[in-house]
Amino acid sequence: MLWVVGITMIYIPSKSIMFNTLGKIFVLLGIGVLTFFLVILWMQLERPPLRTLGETRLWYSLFLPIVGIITYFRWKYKWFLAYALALASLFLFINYLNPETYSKTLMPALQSPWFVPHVIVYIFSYALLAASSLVALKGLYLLYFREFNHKPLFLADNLVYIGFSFLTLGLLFGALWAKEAWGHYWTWDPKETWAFLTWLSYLIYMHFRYFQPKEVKTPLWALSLAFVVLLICWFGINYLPSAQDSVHVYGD
Amino acid sequence: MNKSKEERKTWEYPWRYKESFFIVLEIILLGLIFEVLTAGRGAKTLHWPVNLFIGLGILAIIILLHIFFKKHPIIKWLSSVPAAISAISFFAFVVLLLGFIPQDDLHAHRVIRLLGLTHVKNSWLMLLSGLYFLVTLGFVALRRSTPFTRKNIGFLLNHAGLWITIAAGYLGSGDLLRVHMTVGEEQGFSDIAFNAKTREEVKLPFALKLKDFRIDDYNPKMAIFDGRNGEMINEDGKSIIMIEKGMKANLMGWQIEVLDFTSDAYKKGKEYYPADSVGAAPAALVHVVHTDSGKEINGWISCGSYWVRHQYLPVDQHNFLVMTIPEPEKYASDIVFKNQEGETIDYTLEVNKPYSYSGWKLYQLSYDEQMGKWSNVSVIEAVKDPWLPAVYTGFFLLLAGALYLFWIGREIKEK
Repeated sequence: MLWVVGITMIYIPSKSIMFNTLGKIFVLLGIGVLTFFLVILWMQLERPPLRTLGETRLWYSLFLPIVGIITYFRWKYKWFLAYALALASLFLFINYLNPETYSKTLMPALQSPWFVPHVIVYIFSYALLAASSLVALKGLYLLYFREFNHKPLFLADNLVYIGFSFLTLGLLFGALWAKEAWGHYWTWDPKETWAFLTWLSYLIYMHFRYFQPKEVKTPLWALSLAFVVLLICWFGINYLPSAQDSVHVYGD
Repeated sequence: MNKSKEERKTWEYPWRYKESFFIVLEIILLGLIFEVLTAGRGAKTLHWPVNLFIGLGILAIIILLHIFFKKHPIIKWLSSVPAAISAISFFAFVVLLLGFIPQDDLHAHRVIRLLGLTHVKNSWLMLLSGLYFLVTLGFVALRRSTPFTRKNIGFLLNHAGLWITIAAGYLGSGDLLRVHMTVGEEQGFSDIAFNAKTREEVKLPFALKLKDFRIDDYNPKMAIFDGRNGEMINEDGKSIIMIEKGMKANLMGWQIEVLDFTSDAYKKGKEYYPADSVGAAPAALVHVVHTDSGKEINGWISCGSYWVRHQYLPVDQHNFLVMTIPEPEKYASDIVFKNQEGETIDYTLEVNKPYSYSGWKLYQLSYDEQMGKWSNVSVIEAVKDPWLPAVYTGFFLLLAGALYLFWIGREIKEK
C-alpha cells in the first residue's frame, strides 16, 4: 500500500518541472494512481477510509491536485497548480512517515449513508478553501514585496464561492445526519461550533469582497485568518479544553 | 469620538463600519448588563406559543419598517453590508466564546459565570447577537425580494433560508422534548418516559415493548503486553491486529498463528469450548514462534467477560500476548411499537436507524452497560421537535442557495 503512495509521490511533484503536455499527463496519472489506491483501500478495509486524520489527508491529497488541474485547464495558473501539488505531496509525505494501520472497525455511530457524502463534501470544500488561502498568501506576498494586481483575488473569489457552497452542503448534511444519529440536528458540539465559525468567517470575507471590491489588504488577511479557523476546526479541536467530550473525536 | 479625519463624521449618515461596530459594542455591553441583572441565569427559554408570537412579531416589525421607512437612513443601514458584517462578526464572536470556554463548568470563576460565559447557548449575548443578526438579515432579504430576478432569487434562497433556519432553530429550542425510556425484555408495553433534562415523568402517545436487545461485536484484537511498564505495545495501532481464525501475523518479532477462534466460549479445565450461554467470552488458540530464538509456545488467550476470567499467554519473561476487548459493531433493539389506535408494528432500532411516528423519533440510546451484550434492558430516546419542519424548510432553501452559489462561482470565472 505504501509503495503505491510512494509512486504517486514521485508522479505528482515531477509535473511542474516536466514539459507541458507530458506534465499534465503525469498529474492526471498521479491523480489516477491515488484514486486507484483509495478504491483498493476502501475495499480492503470494508469501510470508507474516512475515519482518521491520516485517512482524510489521503482524500485531501486527491482533491487538491484535482482543484489544481481544473483551475490550470481553465485559467492557466501554473504556480497555483504547483502549490496544490506541493501541498498534496506534503500530505502524502506526512502519511508516508507515519503509516497507520488501517483498522477495520467502524463504530456504529459512523455507519450511516450520510457518512460518505458528509465527509467527502467537507474534504472537497477544505481543499478548495485551502487553495484559496494559498492564493491569499501569494497575494499578501505580492502586496508587500512585489507589485499587486487584482488577478489573485478573482481566483480566490471563485475558489471561495465554490468552496463555501460545499461547506454549506457539508454543514447541512452533518445537521441532517445528526438528527438521525443523535436525535437533534444541532447540539453545539465543539466540532459543530467550530465548523459554524469557519462558515461565518468565509461569510465575512464574501460580504466584504462584495461591498468593497477595490479594497485589497483586508480581504487578503481575512481570507488567511478564515483558514486558521478552518484549521482549528479540522485539527485543533482535539486539543481544545472545551472539546474534551466532543462526539467528533474518533481517532485512536 | 467625533474625529473627522475623513470627509465624514462618525454617526453622520450613511453609517458604515465604524458605526456598525460601535453599535455591536453597545449591544455587547447591554447583553452583559442583562446577564448580571438576571444574576447570570441567562435569557429565559421560550415555549409554545409565546415563541411563535415573538417570531411573528419580529417578522411583522421588520416587514412594517421595511414598507414604511425603506428610505430612512437607519433602515438603509440595517440592510447594508457593513451592518451585515458587524452582525456576522458579532455572532461569530459569541460562538467563539462558546468554542473556547468550557461550558457548564461549575468550577469556573464567579465573574465568568455571572457574565453568562459558561452557558453561552442561552445567554443574553447569544440572544441579542442572534436578534441583531436576524434583523439585519431580515431587512436585506426584504430589500432584495424585489424585483424577482434570477440573481435575486439566488440571494433570497441563501438569506431567507438562513433567516428561517436560525429563527426557527432558536425559537423552537424551547419546545424540543427529549425523553428517555428504559424497557426490559421480560416486560410488557410501556408508555412512561422521563424528561432527559428535568427527569419529570412523561406519558407518551404510544407504547413500546422490547423483544430483544443485542450487541454485535467485531472480532477482538491481539497485542503484546509489556509487563515491565504495564502497557500494551501500541505503535499507533500498528501492533494491534484483529484476530481471525487461521490468520498469521508478525507481532514485535513473534510469528503468531491463530489455530482456533470462537467469539463465545467458556473455559473448562485448560481448554475453551464454544458456548451460547450468558457471560461467554471470545477465546483464541494461538501458536507463537519467536523469530530470533525459534522458541515455540501454544496456548489460549481470551479477553474475558464478567463471567469468564481473562487469559493471557506469556511469550517470554516479561511480555505477554493478550486479547483486547472487542469493539461493538452494532447495537440493536427489536421492539414492538403500539400507536394510540392500538396497532402494533415490529421494528429494529439501531444507532443511525431511528423510528418515526407523527412528530416523534425513537432512537437506540443505551443499555445496561455492566451486562454488556447480555443486557436485557434497552434505553430508548424519544424526541419531539415541533419546529423541525420549519428548520428543514430553511435547510432546503440553503441547500438550493448553495447550489446557486456554486453556479455563480462558475459565472465569475468566465468573465
